[in-house]
Amino acid sequence: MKALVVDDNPTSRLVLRKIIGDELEVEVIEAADGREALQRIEEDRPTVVFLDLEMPTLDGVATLSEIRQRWGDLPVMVVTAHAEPEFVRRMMSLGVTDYVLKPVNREVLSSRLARLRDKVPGLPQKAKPAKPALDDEAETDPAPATSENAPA
Amino acid sequence: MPENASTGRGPMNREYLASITGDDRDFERELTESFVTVSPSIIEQLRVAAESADATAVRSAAHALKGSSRAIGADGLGALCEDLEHRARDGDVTDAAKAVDGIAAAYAHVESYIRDEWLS
Repeated sequence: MKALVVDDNPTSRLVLRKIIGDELEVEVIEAADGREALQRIEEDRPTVVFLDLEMPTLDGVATLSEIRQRWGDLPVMVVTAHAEPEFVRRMMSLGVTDYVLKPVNREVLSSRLARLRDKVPGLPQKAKPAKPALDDEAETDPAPATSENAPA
Repeated sequence: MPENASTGRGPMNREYLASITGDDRDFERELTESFVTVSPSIIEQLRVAAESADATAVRSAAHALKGSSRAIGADGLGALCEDLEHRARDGDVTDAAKAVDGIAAAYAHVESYIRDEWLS
């Protein structure tokens, strides 16, 4: 299971790689522009793409159009500093799964990633934190809490 | 020199950086090291673009430095870059060389802070 981060800015890629890796528990691969992104999708078949818009060579809009032509509804989350409503509308009309603004707020991104996990089949469901247990209970019930067995 | 608006001290928003890294000191070091490795060449691109009054190149380089500055919480530097980016987007590069001087000075302050805090 792989997630592809597409951003020309290496510092932004580091931030996204860390948060996405932590939250989605998938392998995170990277591309520095749209052309490289298309190549990585072809070769690595990621489950989801995180796409910056302003990049050299092939920008995010052109990259997304190409993704839609070649890979249909591959989930794409746009991560950009562009907050202009017309930009957001245009990207949503191109079928992006979500739209997150930079600079990234970890809390916001984490909640959007949780939502993404529910929308995208195949992404690992994150284990819920185990309920604090008394020592006795911990000894008699060592099974970790998971999304399947944790109390609702 | 632009100070951080949210804390009123230092050129970086440490709270933001800690929130992004989850208080992971090693990751903070990795991020800030990446920033000081990449930024000087962007500032050089900015300077060349400003000297040749190339608005497109000024806008692009200012956008790049704005992004990485904000990604690590160097908000004051990011704001200077954003201002130049917006002016270049409108085709105004009349004072771009002076703006780049200001950005370079702000960057030097941030870099010095990073070296003291994470890379020494």
